[in-house]
Amino acid sequence: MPMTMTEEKVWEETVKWVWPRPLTFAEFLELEKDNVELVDGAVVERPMVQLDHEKLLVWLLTLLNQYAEDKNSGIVLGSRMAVEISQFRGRMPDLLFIQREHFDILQQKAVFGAPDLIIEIISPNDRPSDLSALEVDYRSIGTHEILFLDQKKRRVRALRRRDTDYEEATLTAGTLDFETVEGFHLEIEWLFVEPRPLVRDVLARLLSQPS
Amino acid sequence: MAATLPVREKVTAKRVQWISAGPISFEEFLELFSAKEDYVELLDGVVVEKPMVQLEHEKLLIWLLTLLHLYVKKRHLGIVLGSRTAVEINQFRGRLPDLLFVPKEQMESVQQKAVFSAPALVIELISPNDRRADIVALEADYRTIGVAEIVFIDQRKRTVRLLRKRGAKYVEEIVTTGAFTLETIPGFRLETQWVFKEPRPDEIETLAGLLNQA
Repeated sequence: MPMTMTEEKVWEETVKWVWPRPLTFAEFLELEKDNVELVDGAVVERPMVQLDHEKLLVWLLTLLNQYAEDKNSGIVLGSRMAVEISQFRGRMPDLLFIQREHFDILQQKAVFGAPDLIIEIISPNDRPSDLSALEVDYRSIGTHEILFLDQKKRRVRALRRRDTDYEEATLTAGTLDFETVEGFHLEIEWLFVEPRPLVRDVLARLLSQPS
Repeated sequence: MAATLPVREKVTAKRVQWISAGPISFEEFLELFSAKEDYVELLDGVVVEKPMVQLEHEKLLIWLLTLLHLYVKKRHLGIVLGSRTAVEINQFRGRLPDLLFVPKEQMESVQQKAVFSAPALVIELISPNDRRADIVALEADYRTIGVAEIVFIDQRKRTVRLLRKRGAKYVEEIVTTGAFTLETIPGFRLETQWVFKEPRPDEIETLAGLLNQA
C-alpha cells in the first residue's frame, strides 16, 4: 500500500477526439488513426517522443525481435500495435511480446488479450497520472510482466504477476532478467548509458549461453 | 457511429490530484479519503479532485434527491444516495455519481464506505463547464459496470438523455419536452419543465401526485 502521497496541482493539456457517446474499441480500430489511444471512449492523441526515447526503443526492439526470432519463442511488436484493454479502452504499448503459445490473441488489427510482456519507456515529460493509468490498464488485462524504463531516473520498475497480484522490483544496477522471454537478460546500464553495445554483440552473447 | 463527426477538443485543465509511487486501489482510496472532506474520485489509480459545482446544479440535485428519496422510501423500493457516495468501477477506479438508486434486492452491495456493484440507476447533472470528454468517460464507466439506467440531465441544453441496458447494449432516449419515466423506479415520472424551469413544484406535492398515480 502506497503510504506516501503528494498533492499536486497540475496543468494538463491533452488533445482528444470526443464523440457524442463513448467510442468502442472496435469502432476505434475502424478509424485507423495514427498515434492515438482510446481512453474512456475518447480518442486521445499521444504526445511526440524525444530522440532518446526512440533510440532506446529501436535498440530494444531490434534486440528482442532478433532473439525471439532465433529462439522461435514468440513475436515482438512495436508502438503501432493496438491492445484491447476493455470495451472503451485501447493502448499502444511501446513494446510488447507474445509467446508462441498465446498467438491466438493476435489479429491483424489488434491484440485481443494480454501480451506476456509489455515495456514502456518513460520520458521526462510523461505525466505521473498517465503512467499510473498505463500500469492500471496492463494489470487489469493480466499482463504477466510489465517493465517501465525510466530514462530520467535511470531505473527499471518491473511488475510481475503472482496469481492475482503483482510483485514489484525497482532496479538501478545489475542485470535485468526477463521472466517472459526465456534466457533474455540485459545489463541495466545498457539501457540508460550511451553508447549502447551493438545489438549483434549482445545477441551473440545471449544466444551462445546454454539454454 | 463512424458517420457522426467527433469534436476535437484540446483539453487544458488544471486539476488537483494526489500521486503516490504506484496506483492506488479503490480499497486504499476509501481508507485514505472516506473520512475526509475532500471531494475526490479515483481515476486509474490517481485520486483526482472533483470540480466545484454551481448553484443551479445544486438546486436541481437537491430537488431531485429529495423527491426520489421520499418516493423510494414510501414505496419501499430501495435506497437513494447522493454525490458523496463512492461507487466501485474497478480495482483502480471509483466514481461519485450525483445521484444513485440501489433496489432493495441489491442492498448487500451498499456498505458503509461505498457501493460495490452497479447501482440500478445513476443520474448525472451536466453543468455548462463540464468537459465533453469527462462526460463520455462517466458514461463509459457506468456502462462498463452495467448500470441498468443511466440518466444525463443537461441543464444548458435542457435535455434528458436516458440510457437503458438491453442485454449487452444500451438503448438511448433523449427527451426535451413532455414527461419521462425512470424504468428502474416503477411509477416515477417527471415533467421536463419541472427539471429545467424554476421555480420547481413543491416536492411534497409532487410526491403526492406520483404516489396517487402509481
